[in-house]
Amino acid sequence: MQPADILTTTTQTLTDYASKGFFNTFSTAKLSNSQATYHVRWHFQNIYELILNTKTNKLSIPVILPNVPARSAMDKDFRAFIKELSDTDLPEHRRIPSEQLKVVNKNKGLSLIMTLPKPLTATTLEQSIEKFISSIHQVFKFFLKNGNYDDYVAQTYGIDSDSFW
Amino acid sequence: MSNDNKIDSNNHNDDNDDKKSSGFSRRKFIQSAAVGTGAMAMGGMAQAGDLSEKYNIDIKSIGISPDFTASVDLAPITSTFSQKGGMTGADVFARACKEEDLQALFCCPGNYDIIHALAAEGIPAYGGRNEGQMAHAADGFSRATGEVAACSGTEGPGFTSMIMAIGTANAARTPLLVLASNMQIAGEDREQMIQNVYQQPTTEGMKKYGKRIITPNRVHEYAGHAFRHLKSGVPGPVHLDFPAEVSRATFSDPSQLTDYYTRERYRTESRPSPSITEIKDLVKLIGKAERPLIIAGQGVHQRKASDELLKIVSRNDIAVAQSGPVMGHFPDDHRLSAATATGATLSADLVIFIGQYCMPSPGEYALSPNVKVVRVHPEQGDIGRNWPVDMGIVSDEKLFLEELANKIPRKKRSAWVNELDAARQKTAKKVERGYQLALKYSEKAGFIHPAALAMEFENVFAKGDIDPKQTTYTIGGFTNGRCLARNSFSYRPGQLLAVPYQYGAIGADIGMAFGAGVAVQRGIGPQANYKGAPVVCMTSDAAAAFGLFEMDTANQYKVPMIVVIYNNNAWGTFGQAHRKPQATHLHLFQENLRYDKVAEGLGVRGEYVKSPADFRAALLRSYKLASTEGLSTVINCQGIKEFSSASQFPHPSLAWPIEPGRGAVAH
Repeated sequence: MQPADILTTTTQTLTDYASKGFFNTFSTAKLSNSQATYHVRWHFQNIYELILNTKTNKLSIPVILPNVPARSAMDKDFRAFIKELSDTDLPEHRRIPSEQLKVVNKNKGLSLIMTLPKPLTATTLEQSIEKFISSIHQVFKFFLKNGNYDDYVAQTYGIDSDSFW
Repeated sequence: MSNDNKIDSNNHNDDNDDKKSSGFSRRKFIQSAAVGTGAMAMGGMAQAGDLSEKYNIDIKSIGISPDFTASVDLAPITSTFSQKGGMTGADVFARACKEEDLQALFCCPGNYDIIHALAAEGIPAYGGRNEGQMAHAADGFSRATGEVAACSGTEGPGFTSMIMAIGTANAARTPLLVLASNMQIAGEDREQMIQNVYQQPTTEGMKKYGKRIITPNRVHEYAGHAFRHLKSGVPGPVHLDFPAEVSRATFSDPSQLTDYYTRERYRTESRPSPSITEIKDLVKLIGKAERPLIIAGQGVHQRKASDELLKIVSRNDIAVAQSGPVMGHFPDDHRLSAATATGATLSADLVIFIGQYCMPSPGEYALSPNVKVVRVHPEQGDIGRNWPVDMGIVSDEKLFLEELANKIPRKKRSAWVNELDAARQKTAKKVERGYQLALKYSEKAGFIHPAALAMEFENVFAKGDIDPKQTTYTIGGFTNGRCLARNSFSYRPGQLLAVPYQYGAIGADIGMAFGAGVAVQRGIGPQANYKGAPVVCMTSDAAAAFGLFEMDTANQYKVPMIVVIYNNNAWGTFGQAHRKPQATHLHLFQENLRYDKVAEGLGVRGEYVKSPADFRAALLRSYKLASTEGLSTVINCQGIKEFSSASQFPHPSLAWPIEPGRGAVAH
């Protein structure tokens, strides 16, 4: 796919998700020939940045979870959770090849980066975007609800455990 | 088991001489209490003991008054216009309720005209200790049966005591008929006498319909309004106020009343059904989907459509996650259950919401961002709220499922069924790991961890000798509520009541369980096959404070209940206390309180346990006595507040369940 087509398809796919109500709000914050930055209001009513870079062929969320020290127990737990998304016992439509998904901790901010598959077609791009967005969703729906992070959620998002449903 | 002040399980209601000699006469109790309270009592209790002996007053053991029994056993009266003095407004209303087959009234004294008329007319009526708990009981009865139930309180304080329960019922879309007296219109704005308050505005935002009836001859007309709302579309609380001018007005002839029609004329049983085209389009959509999922909401339960749902999904291998304030309308052990297959819902490419009254937003559910959405709902105005739809169908749930059952083709979806099975097995392993961790924590601390409580509950009622479908139960509390919700099970309609559903009320549990217990005792609706079985209330020390006195009510009406109180010496919110140490005391109770002893003082059995094994033994013992002798028990399970802390005792069950899925209490 040409960079312009990748940008168009990605924007359209994310716009579709927004129109399905999956994000509370959605906008394209910056757009160049090779990169798009999107802003989505989503979990905990926060705005998350999503970046598509067609030069590096990567889709990323620079900060999925803030305030997580590198090599901390939470950092390790998070990496283990992301690794599970590549488990061979997951069905193909949910599984993300491990080489495609990477966790980086920069300045206590956990980020998730997906390398898009090659060769890239409109179908594989849409599937990759769906898996990537779903993986972020799972961080909030599963990882943060594993019984360890009530205090983190309260301190980071101001959501007390009796409001974290 | 505690032996102090133990009530003889065979004779706990007898006021015979044997009982007195067993050491539990009220006289002895008063005397011993007086000793216990010592100088502080300054003769208050001691005087009672002295006086009983001085004047030879025979104060007997705890027992049910013969007046109570005689009253309950009296035959009902059918009021008529030709009776002496005619019918009162209260009589007219009570007759309308009888014609509508109102199944139960839960109340405290007050609003006398109405509750007396309803009881006299033969509406099964139950009087308790607190209007709020009785309103929760009505909610519980309705949840367990799908039928309308009424609650009542006196004007002002009695009415406002019901507010939390009305809010709870509103969130659960319970068809709850809230009745209250409202002083006199003649005293309006004069603060004449006491207990004057504008009651209708108080329930604003937590009712489907409400009216302060001010024109006496319209009382039947408003009964019609009430039942139209209670029995149509999406149900919800209906709140009627009765000033004395209305309830005491007299009518000697039906012509004096407005809209005095039979129920067939003031409302209809006709309900919206899907068009042929809609069903055809939906069948196509389902045919194209690889992994379809039905979210079976409360409407499926209330419209008693479980059988139709089972038929459809079995024909076409459609997964189902049940949801709502009552669970069991799709069995958790079914091969197509997605509720117990955590994570599998993310694979669904088509989701069909049926009767999902409390609608989540997409970000709240563990579904794919690309999933297609169909919503089937009895009211057009709600479709598209919170969750944009690809297709909306306005239909009654039962009619929709009947129509779809006729048109859906047979289809095997082996890959989807296998995926569900694998996810279910994975979930079960995680649950087991959680249980084992809870056992370790319990052993280490010497007190029972809430997940161990959930484990033993499941061992007894889902994996033991008792028919897993038999026991109707409620789950609540915060710390243990989360553990129980995550590990809950339900196999038939009306089996599990998720007390905190959507509203998060703490303290509704015992009242709600009592209402469910009444439904089981009488074998109403889905409880018919389990008539007379004991009900179980899984609650917390914080919640018990609101409703423990209703054990008195349960005993009087002979509703066998097992109330399990997880006692961790604190509000479940203790985990948040560390943020401001100066406020920690706000979250704490006295330590090691004995709720089992309080229960014994109320005439029911008490058990005290600290370990998972002891809890299981106590449950089995209590269940046997409840089943064979109709005895109720309160089991005080001693835990520690630190188990609520994720940092000290991290545990996967210390979070509310993932939705959609079993035990989901938000939507």
